Amino acid sequence: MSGYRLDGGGRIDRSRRLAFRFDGETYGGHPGDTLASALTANGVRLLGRSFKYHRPRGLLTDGPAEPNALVELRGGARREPNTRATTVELYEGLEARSQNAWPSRGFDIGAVNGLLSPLLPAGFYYKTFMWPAAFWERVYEPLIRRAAGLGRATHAADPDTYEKGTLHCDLLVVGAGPAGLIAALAAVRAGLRVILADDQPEAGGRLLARRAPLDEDEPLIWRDKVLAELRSAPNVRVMPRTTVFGWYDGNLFGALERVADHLLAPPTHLPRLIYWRIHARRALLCAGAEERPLVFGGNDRPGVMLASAGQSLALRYGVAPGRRVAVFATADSGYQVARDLQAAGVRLAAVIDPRRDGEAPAGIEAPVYRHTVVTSTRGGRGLAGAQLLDKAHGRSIALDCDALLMAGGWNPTVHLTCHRGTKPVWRDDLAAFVPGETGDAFRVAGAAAGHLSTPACFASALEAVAAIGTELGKPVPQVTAPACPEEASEVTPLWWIKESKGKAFVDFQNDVTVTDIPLAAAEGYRSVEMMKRYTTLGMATDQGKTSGVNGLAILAEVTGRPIPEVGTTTYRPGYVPVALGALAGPHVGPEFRPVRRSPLHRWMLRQGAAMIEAGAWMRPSHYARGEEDWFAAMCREVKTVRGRVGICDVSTLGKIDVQGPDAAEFLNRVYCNGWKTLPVGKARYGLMLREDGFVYDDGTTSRLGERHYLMTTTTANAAGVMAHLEFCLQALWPELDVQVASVTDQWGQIALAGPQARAVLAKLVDGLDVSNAAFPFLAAAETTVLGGIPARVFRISFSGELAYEIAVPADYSEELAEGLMRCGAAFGIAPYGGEALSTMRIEKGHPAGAELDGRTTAQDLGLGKLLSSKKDYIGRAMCRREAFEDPERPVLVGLKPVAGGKLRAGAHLLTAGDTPSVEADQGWIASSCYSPTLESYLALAFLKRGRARIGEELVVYDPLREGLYTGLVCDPVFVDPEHERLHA
Amino acid sequence: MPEASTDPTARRLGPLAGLALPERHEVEGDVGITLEVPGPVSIVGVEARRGKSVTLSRRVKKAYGEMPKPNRGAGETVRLLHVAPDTLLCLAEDRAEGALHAELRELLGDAAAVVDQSHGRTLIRLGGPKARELLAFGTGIDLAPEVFGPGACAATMLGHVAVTLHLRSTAPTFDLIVARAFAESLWDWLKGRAGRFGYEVVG
Repeated sequence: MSGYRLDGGGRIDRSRRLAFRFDGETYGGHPGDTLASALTANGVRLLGRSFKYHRPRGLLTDGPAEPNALVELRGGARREPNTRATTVELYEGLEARSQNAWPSRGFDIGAVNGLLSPLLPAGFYYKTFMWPAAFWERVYEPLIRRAAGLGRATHAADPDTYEKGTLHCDLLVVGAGPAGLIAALAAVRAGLRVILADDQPEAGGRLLARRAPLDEDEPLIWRDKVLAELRSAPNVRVMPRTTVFGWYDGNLFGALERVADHLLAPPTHLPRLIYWRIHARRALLCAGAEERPLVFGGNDRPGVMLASAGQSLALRYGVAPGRRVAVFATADSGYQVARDLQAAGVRLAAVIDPRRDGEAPAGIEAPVYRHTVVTSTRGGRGLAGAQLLDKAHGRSIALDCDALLMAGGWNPTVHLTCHRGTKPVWRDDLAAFVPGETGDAFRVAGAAAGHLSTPACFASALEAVAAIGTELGKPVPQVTAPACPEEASEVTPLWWIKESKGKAFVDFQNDVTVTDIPLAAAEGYRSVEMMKRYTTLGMATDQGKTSGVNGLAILAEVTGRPIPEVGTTTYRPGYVPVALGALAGPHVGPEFRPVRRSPLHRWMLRQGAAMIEAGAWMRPSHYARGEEDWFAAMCREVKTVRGRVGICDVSTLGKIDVQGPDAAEFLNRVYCNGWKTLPVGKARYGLMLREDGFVYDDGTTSRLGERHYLMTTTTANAAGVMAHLEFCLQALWPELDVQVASVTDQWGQIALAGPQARAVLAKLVDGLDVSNAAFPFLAAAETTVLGGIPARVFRISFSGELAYEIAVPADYSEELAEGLMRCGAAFGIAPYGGEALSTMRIEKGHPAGAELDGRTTAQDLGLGKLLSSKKDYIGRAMCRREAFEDPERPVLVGLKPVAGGKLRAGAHLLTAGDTPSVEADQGWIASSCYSPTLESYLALAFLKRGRARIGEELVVYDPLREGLYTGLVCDPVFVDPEHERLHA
Repeated sequence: MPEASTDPTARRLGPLAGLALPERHEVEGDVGITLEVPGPVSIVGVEARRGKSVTLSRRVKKAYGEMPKPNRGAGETVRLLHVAPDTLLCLAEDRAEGALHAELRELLGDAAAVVDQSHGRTLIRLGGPKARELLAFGTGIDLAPEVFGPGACAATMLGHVAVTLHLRSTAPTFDLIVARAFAESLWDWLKGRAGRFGYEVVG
């Protein structure tokens, strides 16, 4: 035996050695080890310090319930705190650090808390850090946070990827122990679609850690036969390393698959974790049971662990839990563990059993002390011995041992069954809670249902699957369970050893001792939920998996109530901690949401466009030439459009095809202005209100045919307007014969603007007469361009220049752009971006997103004359409300700086001489820009009685940036107020 | 002055042109996924006018042999997907620009709104033995063969992108129909997951 590694046995690959580091020391282990088993094999028993008293701690369990052996796994950006060493599969190069220990886990200054423990009772924080209140945030909380333990998360960005997915099945089997395996086998033979999920890397559950034969052979031979049949069946998905952590409405289960958690780093293309949503018609919980610790003095010393953990160490990992191992058992299962250890070559020190009745089971080659309890332990950083009290003879016995295994009975793993509100039910014969009634969709079998012997586990699983098969119309054929010997499984609970000396821990993770519970009860926290919050028993990563039942049993005893009356705390999802990365899934960083790309996206990039996000879209802000910054590029682009001609991608505008005999009536109802008089071949500006009378959206709509219109919307509201129209047609006016369809993506659309726009267009079209007489402002036509490309041409303008928009089926967009550049080359054509477009619309006084912000009315925007009085429309009833007609309402005006200087959106307006205050506020600036055309800053603003104040000088109040300065109120149309260019 | 009215179909440049290039990425010597962007595809939306659903069904059946049931597809040369009440998405390959739209408008123009979406929707063909496993990372729909058989179609989401899913054949081969502007994002999503199974982009 080298270290504590046994000479044989275990599910480890002894032919390969893995090097790993713990607290900077290098150790060796084997594939198949956990970090906990490998450390134990190396003689490392002190794995960390406890949370409150900083006591030395070793491992307690062999699985996810582990409260003590929490480590920071990995380093750098992958550092993960509070990882249970008992669930960490060993890999080459693993790095881990202990927690709660400073400066080292061997010598920890915080251990002085243990000496101060009379001053640190339950509820200490609540009692001590109460006043003065101002101290809480600045002094107490930082202090408590530093002193409180548990690990440190990394601040670096997570380098790994995570995935989410959805699975469906007839039957989800949770747990691949004996019950789960036979359940899956029977269900698969019946032809059900089965998912078998298990949190371990290999199936088998407790079969991996016990010697009891199945069919008179080693238990894993039976397991391998079952797995082979499952693997060859098409209708089952076996999911190892997958923890089902939550049960939700509709029989939906949450499961976490650890795809690459057992590797140094996930391989390319693979996520670290997958968060599965499993829709199960039926589910069967075969999650087994957790063993209970015993509560006696010094029960937290490294070397004291659950009997099942010691059994796992020896039989699954080939590691001796100690060189002299004692077993303290109030349950018969402890004797089986003692026999298994003995057979594995582990030396037993004694078996200690508080029960007085009956014969001690045979075959134990060590003293068996009946009617005896452990009252205390001794040792420094690890167990050296235990003090026993033989109650039959009233004598004290000093026992030398370096490991003490506790067999305190079993708690069925009921947690999932409680996630939708079902309370577990107490069973006196088991001294444990079993699942309550969860209905047909979610059944429980095996130890999770309170069947503590293997034959009963098999029988209950087969019975459950037979019922499920019948319900789902797939009769389950006869499946024979393997023969297995009868096992004694009696439990006589002993909730706490009252003769204990020294601290006896109930909750190891939260350092709750047996004296804290009576104290909480004495102070009035008699409810189990209150006791939990007052003492912290059952909190943190293990959620009381090992401590809960002991704690409430003690609470029941000290408050003189039966255990069922005390009840349990509420078990909520998740059963195990779920990484935030898995909850977020793949949609983080650049993948946060999909990107919408214009059909001209790549063309614009080739032209040097700087792209910015606009909702999901990417749009060009400007096209820099040479050393230009955005400002210089914007100024040049504006001058190009105002002086010559430019093109701009407008494909992102919402486009909605509206057809049907009632299309005109429909438009009349959704827009506030009239549509019945619009002829075929013409476009019109439309303004849409919400039901509450405020402006919703605007755009131009063209009549392409007698019963055919094309509506455009703003980019931002495209999807909302489409949903609004569908709601109107389906819910408000189902009698209207109108069909709407989004054609935003079908058309690539380019604005062509500037004095030379007509000359360029004339070269582009296949013969359409674009003269001012034949194709005047607001004309619309369906035609072809560039030799046969179908196109729609609209004479509309956002910039205020002579302008057209040309739309082609999107796959021809790049050809259209190239064609425009070619046709316009002689005129100095250039593409312009969103900055130039925005500048020009402000110069022209066109309201856009900053003005249509959901709080402005048609009247505010100077569009009150559009409100038709001849028809009904959405928003009509509300848009004439008294407040909407209030002359004091801020309305749209233009603003220029008086002595140069900038104007900034967000600044507020004050009457000259007034002191800034909310009461004195006269309005605000909505949009502003530098106008290369007027060589001045300009702004669109909302101002009380604004239209009567043209020419007034106001104070612009911008305390965050420029301070106070003066602005001149003017008409919002700064450029071409007579609109001559539009009609040129 | 350029010449008018030659079919420009050959000049089409789809959103995945230059991106969906033939390549093969094996995992353990195998590919579980095939991806293909067929082209050029014609896609036309059809929605019956009020009270005309029977007329629509009758004419579709006469012209194409079958009116598919809701959430099913039918037809060979023209595939018709019944994607919403009284609403069809019609697909054909290798047609001239606007030809399918014209054909359907001729057939149904007085009974339905017929809207050309050939450029507004992109078709991505996903196949291979692991296709269902890949799709499970996106859609919540149960795609098991006994539930979602050949001919089935559904509106769903893949990676936050709305997609119409159609199972063309048992192979399995799925047609994914996506709004053009999201085609590149969907392509990235598919390839990002296809790498786990090994994939081949078919030219």
